[in-house]
Amino acid sequence: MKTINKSMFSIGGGLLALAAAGALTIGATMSLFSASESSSASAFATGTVAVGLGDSASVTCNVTEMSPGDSSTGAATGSKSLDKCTYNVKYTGSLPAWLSVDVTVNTTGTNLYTAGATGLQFYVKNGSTSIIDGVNYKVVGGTNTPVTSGVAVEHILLNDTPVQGPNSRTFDIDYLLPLLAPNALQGGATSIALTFNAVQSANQPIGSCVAGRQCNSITWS
Amino acid sequence: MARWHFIAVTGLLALSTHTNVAIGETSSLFSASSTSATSQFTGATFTPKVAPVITPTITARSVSLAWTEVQSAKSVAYTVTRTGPVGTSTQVCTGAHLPTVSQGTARCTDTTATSGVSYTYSQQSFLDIANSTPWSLPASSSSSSVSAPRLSYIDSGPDASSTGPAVTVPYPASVELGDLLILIAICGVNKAPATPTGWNQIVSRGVSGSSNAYLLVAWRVADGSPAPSLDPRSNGSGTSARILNYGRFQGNLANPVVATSGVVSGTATASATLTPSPNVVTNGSNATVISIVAMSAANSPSLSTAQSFTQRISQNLTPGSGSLGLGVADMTVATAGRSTSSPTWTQSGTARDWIFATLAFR
Repeated sequence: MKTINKSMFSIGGGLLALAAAGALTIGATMSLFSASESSSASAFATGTVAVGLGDSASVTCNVTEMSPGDSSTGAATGSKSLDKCTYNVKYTGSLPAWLSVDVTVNTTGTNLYTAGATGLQFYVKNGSTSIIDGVNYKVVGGTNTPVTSGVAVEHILLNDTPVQGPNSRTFDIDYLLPLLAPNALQGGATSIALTFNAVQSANQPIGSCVAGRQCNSITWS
Repeated sequence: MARWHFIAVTGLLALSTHTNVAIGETSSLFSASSTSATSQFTGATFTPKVAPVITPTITARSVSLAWTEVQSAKSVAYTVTRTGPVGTSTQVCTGAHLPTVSQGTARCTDTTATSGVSYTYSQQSFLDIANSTPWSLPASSSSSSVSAPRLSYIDSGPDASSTGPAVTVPYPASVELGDLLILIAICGVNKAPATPTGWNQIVSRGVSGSSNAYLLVAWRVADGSPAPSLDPRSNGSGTSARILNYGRFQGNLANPVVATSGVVSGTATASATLTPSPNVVTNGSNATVISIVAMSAANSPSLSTAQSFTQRISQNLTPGSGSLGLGVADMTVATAGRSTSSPTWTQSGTARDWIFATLAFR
């Protein structure tokens, strides 16, 4: 068995050596006739969903020493003598997108905002779309629901049909401290912040959502 | 081929299913968000944070109230409450008498207090915003208690000095009908001047010795009569005369009367100090006791031991050839029948004989 195996190894080794020698020769000196053709390149690129600064500067409010009857220019009642706050943003993505806004009302210490008619009122609008009217936002069914201090109101839908960038949005934040604000609100403090959201609309049907109401059936991130 | 189609359809179904599930649970959709800066809103407060206590002061006809101004973002108004006997409370400083603020002090006048009644006062500061629920500080602590006399010293008319034969003694400008007017005339000789018509002489006292002098005191209720004309009868030594006005406290419609059965008057030999004796005893509540001293000297008598008296006049006058000194002080005595400790007067300069009088009115 050992002899046979040795003989087979020898034959195999000779063939390999010949092949190797031939290959070296072709690589070094021969020009064979050959041809090839490549397809045109297929390109793949993603669209974008992005948000950026608005066309004009936002106005952040720091309203101190508010007293009953004080309100901003766009408030329903009151002095209408104070400047409103604005938040200017822009959807800059290339993909069709749903837009929404979150509203967070917060406080430290005594709350100027009570979620009631006699506490601080907010009037948040995006154009003609009302986001917060006094203390209420609308849930998907349209029911007015008070904003709770410290709990973000998420995903108030801004558009019924998908939009593409650039799409500028201005949020006006007007406010009013009613004349009947109780004495207990003296020295109270409240803050408000908005978060502007955009998400691809592809594969995300609007369902029963309506602009100006909360829309949680869309996945926002 | 049939088998290949089946695989492809299966793959599409699998893909579709996966996508839907993944959106709801785990996929990362293309999304973006941006959060605004936070806008802040703060309610008004008051400075100071504890309501200042009222300081009440009895004035001639009313109670003057003052306290430290309270400030806030808007105009601050005040509710002033007067608390009387058994806790009865009344809002004062209303209507035309609303508090006013000047140089950090709020002031108003209680125009309805009654003399002889003890009151305390408190105030509550609030934002002066029409139709609003008032934002306010808790009411201040109560003030010290005050009780107004029936009569209070308002002022003195100008000194009228003359060597005769007649001098018109002007009224103080503050006189109102019903006020108590006290005429004091000091002569440089020991000779009584004539008491003007319509006046009630209450003290007529002269002294001779190291110096000569005469003290005449008369009184009346202001009734609109012309200013009195006085014959000094003092020739070249001259007479100095004036009229003091003790105004009736608001709401006191009773005409002033003498409030002691024993008007005290006398003289004393030259000494640096004098405590008139005996003490006067009032016979009505809430009386005003008046101590008067005079001498013929270039001295101005003043209180050295006040005994709760308030000095009103300390003056040296030269109506004629000699100088005359006059001192007047008064105090309110709430309780009838009380013996009032006389104050001690002192003379500046070389001491001369004293003439003194202690009166009481209510």
